Amino acid sequence: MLIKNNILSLPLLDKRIKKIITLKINKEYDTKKLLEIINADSSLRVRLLFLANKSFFSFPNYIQSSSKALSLYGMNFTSSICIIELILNTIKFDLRAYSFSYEKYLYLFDFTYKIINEFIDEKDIDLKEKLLIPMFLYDIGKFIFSKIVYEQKEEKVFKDKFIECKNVLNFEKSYFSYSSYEVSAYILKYWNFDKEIEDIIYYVSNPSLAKDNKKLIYLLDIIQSLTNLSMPYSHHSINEALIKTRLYGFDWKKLEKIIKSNKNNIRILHGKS
Amino acid sequence: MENHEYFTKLKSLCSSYSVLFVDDNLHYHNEVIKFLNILFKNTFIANDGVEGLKLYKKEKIDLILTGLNMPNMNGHDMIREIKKISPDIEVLILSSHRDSMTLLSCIHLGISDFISKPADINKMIIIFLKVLSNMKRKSEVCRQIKLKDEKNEEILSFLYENSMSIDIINYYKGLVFRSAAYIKEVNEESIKLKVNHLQLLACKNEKLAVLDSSLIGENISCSLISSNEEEYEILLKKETFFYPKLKNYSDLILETNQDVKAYFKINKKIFCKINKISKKEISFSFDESNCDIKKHDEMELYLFLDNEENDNYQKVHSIVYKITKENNICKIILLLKKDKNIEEYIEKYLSKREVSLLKEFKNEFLV
Repeated sequence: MLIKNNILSLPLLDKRIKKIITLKINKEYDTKKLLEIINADSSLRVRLLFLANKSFFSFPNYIQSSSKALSLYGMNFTSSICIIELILNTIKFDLRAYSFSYEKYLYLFDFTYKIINEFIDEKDIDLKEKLLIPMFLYDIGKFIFSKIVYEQKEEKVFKDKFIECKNVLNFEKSYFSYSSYEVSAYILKYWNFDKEIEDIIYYVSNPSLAKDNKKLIYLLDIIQSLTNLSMPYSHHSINEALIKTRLYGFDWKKLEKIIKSNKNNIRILHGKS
Repeated sequence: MENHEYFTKLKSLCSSYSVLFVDDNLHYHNEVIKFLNILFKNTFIANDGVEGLKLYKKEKIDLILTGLNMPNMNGHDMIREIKKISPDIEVLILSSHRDSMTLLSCIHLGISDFISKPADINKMIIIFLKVLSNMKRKSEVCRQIKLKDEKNEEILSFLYENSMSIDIINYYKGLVFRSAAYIKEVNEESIKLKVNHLQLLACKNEKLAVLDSSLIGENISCSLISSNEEEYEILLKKETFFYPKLKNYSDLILETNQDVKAYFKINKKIFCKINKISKKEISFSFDESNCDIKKHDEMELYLFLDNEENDNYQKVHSIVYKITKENNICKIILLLKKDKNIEEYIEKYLSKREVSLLKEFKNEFLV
């Protein structure tokens, strides 16, 4: 009931999200319309420029206009970033119960996308493009959980148990009877966002039950092991992710190599509060 | 029979209005009084300024015809007092040749016209026709404005009843936050909206918001009454409707950070504080005692914006657009002359500054 009430109290989805989704689906590559949406909102423009100038992506010169960033990233990636940013703006970011700050979370997300982007084959452009939105959205259920924990004044109990858990999914199910991915799917359903993405996120909790988009769901399952909020990119998390990679038929050695080559970024992540 | 036509037209204009006639020699003006009684719905008569003012406060009066030299309170003082109550009231002076100096001082108060004594009815018809036509035009404009306000209110109700969104705009040091909001409740005074979280924070910080709907020509400026973060709701008080300037990205004007330095030269270097900057204008301030600058002066401003590749001051050619002085500080707004290099220099700063401002905002207000 608490979860349902919290979902119902959420703001409705920003109408610009639907506009951007339509631009993506139409494949007309109407960059002018997308730029209009971006330039009318500082948060969209800033997010794009911030990413474009981050050392992860290594563009040689400083990118100072959103049109330049769009031409470098392409329509699909830029649209996805905008959708994610608009959703982040809609719902109150709250990972207090998971002891994760906004800055640390964004760093984790950006860094993980870089890793997965390198991991997925160049030929699999469709998979890369489809991955971005669910990769972010599947965690928004945690904002609701964190809010409930604080409303019920259970933060100490929750945090003490959370810090010891090795599997966030199982921990959430035992604490709330739902995983945060299921709650994320319910939020998207409330927003009438996109049925396909709703289903992808829903089945991250039970990848074996998925009928469509299996490859994408397996990847998300690997990512949720890697980015386990109680100990992201820890020895245990990386190990679990590599086991799943092998199980799902991906090249686990390639993933291991990529993670090893990003040791510095992992160190930075662990250093953040 | 031209005058008869004018008279007929004047009678139709006057029929719904009331007039106040003030003069200390009313028995000399029987013709004027008869004239007014025929034309107007109500004619009120007073012997001096005191009586005239009293009547004005008591009755609903649309037009005043008054002499100047009167006992107790003269015409000039009466008009001044009445104008304090109703600045737009139409006033006609009935004046003689001797009153020319007083008449001049009344013009400064804002009178509509004057009629020379002894009053000639034909001339009065023409003058009254001019004034009454003007009054009718003004009241039609007010009626249209009121209709538009009512129409705007109706549109807000329409948006609410049909669960349609309205855009809400906030600012943080020049950053623009804009998103869709949904009306939860609307009445004459206030409007309750469901907004996204970022907008709620921006609104809480600014304590103001602007509402913009494509269905309404004007924007609505509102002040924040209260907010409910749990429910993502804000309650706004409607303040004014206004026509917005067209805004696009190239108009982004941001508050600067402390690393920005600038100076100009008048005999010596005068360092100044840059307050705001865009690709088209710069606003800065400095000690007033150094202010020997005039509007439209050409100015060379040496600007340092802390861009990594360039640690020198850049010379910016500009024109002084606005100067204000307050508490020994001189504030100037410069319009920049077109220069591709300077534009790029400033654009690079603006894009970095936008990033840092948004980070600052989120660090301050987000959990």
